[in-house]
Amino acid sequence: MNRDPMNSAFDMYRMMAAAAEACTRYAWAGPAQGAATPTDTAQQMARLYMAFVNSGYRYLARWAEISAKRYPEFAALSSGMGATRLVTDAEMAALVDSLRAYLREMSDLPVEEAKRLQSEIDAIMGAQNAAGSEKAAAAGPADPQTRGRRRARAKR
Amino acid sequence: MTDVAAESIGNEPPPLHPVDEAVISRLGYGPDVQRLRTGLFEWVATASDEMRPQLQWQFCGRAKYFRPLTVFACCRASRPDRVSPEILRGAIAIELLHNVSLIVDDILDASDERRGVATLHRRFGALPALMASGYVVADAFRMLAEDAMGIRLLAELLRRLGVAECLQWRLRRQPLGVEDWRVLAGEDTGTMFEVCACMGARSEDLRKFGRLLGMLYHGCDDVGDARGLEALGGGGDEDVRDGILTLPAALAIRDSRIRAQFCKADPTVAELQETADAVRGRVEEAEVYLDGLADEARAEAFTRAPNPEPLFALIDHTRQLSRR
Repeated sequence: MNRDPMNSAFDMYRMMAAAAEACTRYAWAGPAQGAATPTDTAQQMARLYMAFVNSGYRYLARWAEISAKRYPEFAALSSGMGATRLVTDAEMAALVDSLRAYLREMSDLPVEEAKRLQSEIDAIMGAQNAAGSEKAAAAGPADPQTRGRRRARAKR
Repeated sequence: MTDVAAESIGNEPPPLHPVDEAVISRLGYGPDVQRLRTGLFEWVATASDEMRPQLQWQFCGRAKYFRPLTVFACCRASRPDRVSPEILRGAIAIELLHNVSLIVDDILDASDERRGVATLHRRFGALPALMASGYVVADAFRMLAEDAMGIRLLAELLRRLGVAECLQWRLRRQPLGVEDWRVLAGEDTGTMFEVCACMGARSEDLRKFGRLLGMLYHGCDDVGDARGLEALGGGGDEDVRDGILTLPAALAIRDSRIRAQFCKADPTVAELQETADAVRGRVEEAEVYLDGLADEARAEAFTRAPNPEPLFALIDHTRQLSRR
C-alpha cells in the first residue's frame, strides 16, 4: 500500500503519544500511604518524565499532522505553475494564503504545546502537594521549630 | 422624565422572542438565561432616573444573549456544578459591554434600527446614547468589584476591542488575504468570545476555543450578510462600499481585477456592483473554510475541556448562522 510518508510519521508519533499518555495516567494510580517517602519523589519524577516524553511526541505528531495536511495543498496549488502555463493572480494569492496558514500553525505549535505541558506539570506538582498536605494534616501539629521553618520556606 | 421613563417597568422581564427562546431552550440554558435577565432587569430598575429610559430601551428589547450562553457553556464544560453567582455576574457584565459596542457601532454607522426598533441614538439623540454607553461601562466594572479576574477580563475586552476596531478601519480597502481576515476576526469578535470563555471557565484553558468560536461567528455573519444580499437581489453592500475585509471578500480579491476595484477609494456604482457580485460568488468557498474553522474549534474543545459536549453544541449552533 502506498502511503504518504508524512501521514505514516504522523500515525507513528500519534500512537507513541497516546501510549505515553496512557502510561502517565495509569501507571502509578495507587496513592502512597503514610508520610512522604523516597518512593513518592520517584513516582513524581517518573510522572514528570513521562509528561515530558508525551509532550515531545505530541509536538512531533502535530508537526507531522500539519505538514501532512498542508503539503498536498501546496503541491496541488503549485503543480504546473510556471512550467507549462502562466500563473494567475488568483492561484498565487491562494498559494500565499496557504503558506501563511502553514507558517501560523507551525509558529503556534510550540507555544500551545508549552502551555499544555505547563498545565500538566502544574497538575502533577499540585497533586503531589495536595497529597503532602493531607499527610501533614493527618500527622497532626508539628513542633514549633518545624512549623517555623516551614513558614519561612513558604515565604521565599 | 420622558414618556419612556414614565412607562412602568413592571416586576418581570418581558418575554423572550420565540426564536431566541427556542435556541436558548435547545441549548439547555433556559433557567440560566432567566436568572441573567432577572439580574439585568433589576439593574435597569435601580439605575439613575435620568439614565433609566435609555437603559430600558437598550436592554429590555429583543436580545439573543449569545455571549452569556458562551459563558454558561464554558462553565458547564469546565466543571459539573451549576452557574455560580460570580459567573452569572460576569455574564451580565459581558452582555452590558456587548451592548456598549452595539450602541457605538450604531452611532458610527448612523443605523436607524436594530432588532426591529429604533437605535438608541435615533430614539434619544447622540449625546444621551454616548453617555449611556459610558454609564454602562462604569456599572459593568462596578458589578464585578469583588472579582479581580472578572475586572481584568473586562479591561482586556475593552482595550482589545478598541484596538481591533481601529485596526479594521485602518486596513480598509487593502489588498489583504484570508490570513489577515483571521487576524481581524480573531481580534474583533474573537476577543469577545475569548473573554466569555475565560469568564465561564474561570481559567485560561478555553481561551483559544473562545477565539476560534468568535472567528467562526464573525465568518458566519460575513457569509450570512453576503447571502442576504443575494436574497435581496443584489445591490451595494455596506461592507463592500467601505472596503471592509469580510471572509468572502478576502477570497474574492484574490482576483486582480476585483482586488483593484475593492481597493479604490471612490469606486463607481458599476464597480461596486461587480465587486459585490464577486463577493457573493465566493460564498460557497467561504462556507468550506468555515467548516474547517468549526473543526479547529471542535478539536480545541475536545483537547481542553473536561466535558466538551456543551461546546460542541455551541459550535454547531454558530455554524448554522451563515445558512439562515
